[in-house]
Amino acid sequence: MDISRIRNFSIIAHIDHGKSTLADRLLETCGAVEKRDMRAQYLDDMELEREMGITIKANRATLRHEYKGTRVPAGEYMLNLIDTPGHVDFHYEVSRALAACEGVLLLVDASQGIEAQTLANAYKAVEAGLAIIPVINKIDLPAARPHDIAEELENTLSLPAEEAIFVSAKSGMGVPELLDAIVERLPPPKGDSTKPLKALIYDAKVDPHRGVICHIRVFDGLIARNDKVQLMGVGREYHATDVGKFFPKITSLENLTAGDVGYMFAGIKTIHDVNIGDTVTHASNPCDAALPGYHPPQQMVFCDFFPGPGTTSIQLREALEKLWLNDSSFGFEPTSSAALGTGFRCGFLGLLHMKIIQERLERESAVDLVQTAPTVPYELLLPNNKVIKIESPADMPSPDKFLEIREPMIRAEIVVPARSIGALMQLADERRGTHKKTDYLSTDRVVLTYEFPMGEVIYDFYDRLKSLTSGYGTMNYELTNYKAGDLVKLDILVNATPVDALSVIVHRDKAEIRGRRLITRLRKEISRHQFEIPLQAAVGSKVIARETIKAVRKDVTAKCYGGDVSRKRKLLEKQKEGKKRMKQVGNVTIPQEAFMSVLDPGDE
Amino acid sequence: MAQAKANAGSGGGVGWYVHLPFCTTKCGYCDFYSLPTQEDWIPDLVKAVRREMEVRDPGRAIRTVFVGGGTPTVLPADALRAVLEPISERVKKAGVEIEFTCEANPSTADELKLELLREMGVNRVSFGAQSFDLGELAVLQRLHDPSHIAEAVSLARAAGFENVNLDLIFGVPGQTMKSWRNSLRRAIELGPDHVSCYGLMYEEGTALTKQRRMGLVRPCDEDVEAEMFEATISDLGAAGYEQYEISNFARGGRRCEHNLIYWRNEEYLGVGPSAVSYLGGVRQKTKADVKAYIETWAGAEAPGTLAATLVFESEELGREARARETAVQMLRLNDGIELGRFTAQTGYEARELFGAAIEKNAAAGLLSNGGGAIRLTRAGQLLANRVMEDFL
Ligand SMILES: Nc1nc2c(ncn2[C@@H]2O[C@H](COP(=O)(O)OP(=O)(O)OP(=O)(O)O)[C@@H](O)[C@H]2O)c(=O)[nH]1
Ligand code: SF4
Ligand SMILES: [Mg+2]
Repeated sequence: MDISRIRNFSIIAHIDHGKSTLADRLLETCGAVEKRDMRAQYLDDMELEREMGITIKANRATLRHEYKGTRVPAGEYMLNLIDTPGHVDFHYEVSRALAACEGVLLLVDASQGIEAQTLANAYKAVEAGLAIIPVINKIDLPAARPHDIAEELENTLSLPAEEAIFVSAKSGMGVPELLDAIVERLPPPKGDSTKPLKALIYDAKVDPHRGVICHIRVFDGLIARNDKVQLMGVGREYHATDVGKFFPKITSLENLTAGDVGYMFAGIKTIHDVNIGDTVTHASNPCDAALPGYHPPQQMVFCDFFPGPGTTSIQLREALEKLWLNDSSFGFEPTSSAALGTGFRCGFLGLLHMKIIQERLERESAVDLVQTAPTVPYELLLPNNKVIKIESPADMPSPDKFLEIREPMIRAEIVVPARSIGALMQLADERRGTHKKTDYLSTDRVVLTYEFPMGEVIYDFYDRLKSLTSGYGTMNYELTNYKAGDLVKLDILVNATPVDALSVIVHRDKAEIRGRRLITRLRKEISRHQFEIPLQAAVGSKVIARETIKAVRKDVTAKCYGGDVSRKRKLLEKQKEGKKRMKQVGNVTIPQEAFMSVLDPGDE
Repeated sequence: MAQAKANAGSGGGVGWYVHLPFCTTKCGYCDFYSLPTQEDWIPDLVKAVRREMEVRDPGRAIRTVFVGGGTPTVLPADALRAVLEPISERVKKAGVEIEFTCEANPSTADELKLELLREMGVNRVSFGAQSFDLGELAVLQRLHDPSHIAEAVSLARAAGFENVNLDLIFGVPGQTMKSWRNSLRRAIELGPDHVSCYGLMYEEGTALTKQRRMGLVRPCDEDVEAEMFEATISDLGAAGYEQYEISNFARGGRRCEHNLIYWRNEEYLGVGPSAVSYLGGVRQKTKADVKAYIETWAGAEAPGTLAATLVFESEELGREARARETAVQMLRLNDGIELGRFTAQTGYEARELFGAAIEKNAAAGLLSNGGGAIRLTRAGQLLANRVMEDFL
């Protein structure tokens, strides 16, 4: 393929602004998918993606577009598109995709306007030096304000308003013009097919039958089937058994040349044998230097999974291993809890990622899980000046064992209607936020930049933001550093026994109120037993809140079932079964929901 | 282990239950199979019930009869007569005085119908009184007011009923200890022979459950309900009503023989839509569907074969499961699991089969284990479900 006839681009946007739907229309308009085979969000092929209606993994497809214009030479162009996820947990997917492209379509919903991830993703594209085509989507909506939004883009991101292309990904309106703009405005890739091979592994997935499929972007040289290749980072050699592209059906090709985006199979067994970001070159004729690659995505949310009553820890390990082979961005290691026995400490990119993993474990491996509340990681400065990381409140030693505890900080960009500034500032105050700056997107919409301790915002901050802005507020964040804080461990005692899996790390000033709320919530979650159960929240040896779950007084069915004896028996069997499925800590039965009590910050 | 036959009763008599599924309106808490009265279905329903009784008659002595629903007395007199006649004739022919109950609502019991019932041989009438508090009756969505209850009882007495039951409900939203004890007192003043006191349950699909979900009614506090239960036992006890089952009280030995069959896991035939039968170790429930019921029993030529399609569920437990179920049922009775009776009926020694459960619950003060029976203590009655779980 003539390199000047290739265009590589990603579609980036805030969540739900229509990236995947636009990809559908591009596929359809270029005739890549037959109309009868078309389904909404065609490229979202994971079951969970289809169910949730969101993109989790980046997807790609190659399109052929017949350009009939005059601004560049007419004829067929090869467009390699990558559809990216909008959710902040999966932002690393966007960064990876951008490294394989020369341009982006920055999509903005014509009724919503610029939102937090619009900005975050646009900055990424600018940083990567990519050409940007602003695209205003959903112009079919009655509430669409495409011209205002184009203005917003010009003011905020200096993208000239007249360059914006108006489309409806739903109806297809504007899509042919967009295809021409891609050809005209995005630069062709640079590269030299005669140089030694230099290709980037920008993503990798596991194919159940053929092993690991590497998604590659060739910068220089040419890769052909049967080439002996080397992964420069890991220093291993493989045979490229197959190369090709997605049209969007997987299609083998003789070779991929400089500028191309495609795939490579090389008999790689597991996802952990490849480093995403690694450089592929020829074993016999390597290129001079590897590409810079990526920082691996950081796990910022941790929780422990314990086998529930119906599952063994071996089954749980097998389930985790199976998933881990498909998703290298989560990690797990054995852990043990005095209260819950042996389990696994798991690390995730964020809360949504955690929920997805949990859902997939339960669904794909049918394991029964007891999950502790998620936490962020903390750093401890020890007296010997070493710094260690703890990923569970249960691991926090007594205060005399360390000099300093540090919490992860984030920089958050929050887009809200101007009228919500006051309410937001109050919420940010409660969450120990530090205001950094305020920028106006337009007269009635602002971007507030804040620094927060991450632990204060990951659980419910987003829901609170949504509710106090009637749904209009959006937020994006990234980790900045770790900062020392006056943090203490809040212990929870159930029936006078500390339950390590219920501990939380909180700011000293908030310990009392959090403790009180936590046990109020626990009182509701733990059902009455035949004895009284005292609940206490304590910092060190000081009890700061207490409550009691009264002993059960009445558990009798005083009802006339008549001859329906089976029904009565089945109800008793069900009740008995339900208890068996709960975790026994000491002589108290604790339901799964109780372990999540920590997440309920109550009404503030 | 004794080699007794499971279900020793299989040679003896059978209790008969007839379900008539119509009511004037649906009460807020009710999850029995009952519909607003469909006048034009009544003739076919009568025909169907008569046919089913004829075909499914196990040909054994009738021990008791219980006609319930629904509200049997919403049927017009001739229809009611037509349903009861075949049973009435059989009972009269056998020449043995047996308990023959019919349910009625205080607002639908008139002199003529009560007399008709007497004429058919009905000797026990059970009124759904539920409460003597107007507000509580409204929450329960009952049609009568407290004065109807006294009226119904005196009509029944005048018609010659020597065995009258009142049903009452505690744990009603808004009910207080005071109003519950007041209802008990007013019930006692009417001098019924039997009182059933049920705790309100929020069943799936009922109006009250929906209201509770929407926050329109607030359920009674668990501790208050426990106190109500205790007050029930002591107030009725003081008035001469002996508790013989968790929710049932009788004076002068007038226990409900029909319900005792259920609590002892003995055999019964259930006729009508949604009725349950337990014969030869098989418990079988008929679909809760009047239309299908009528089509099957009133229309077809050979309903015996078609009737299979009317079976909603059928269950035949293994010997041990049956014994466990029997024990759970018997625990409801103040007589408890009578060891001899249990062994004769199930073939198991209760103390062997339930050793651990008995030990655990006796230690917790919930069971007594002496005098040839295993019984719930007063504390055990309040936690009956927990004890029963251990017997399953
Ligand atoms: N009316 C209208 N709705 C649209 C249009 N484009 C997308 N939508 C709808 O917007 C919703 C989100 O579309 P997606 O394509 O899944 O959005 P996305 O940006 O891929 O979302 P994520 O992958 O979760 O970030 C869906 O309900 C689409 O049907 C459009 O042009 N007009
Ligand atoms: S009268 Fe009885 S059967 Fe009829 S609706 Fe009321 S509670 Fe249900
Ligand atoms: Mg998408």
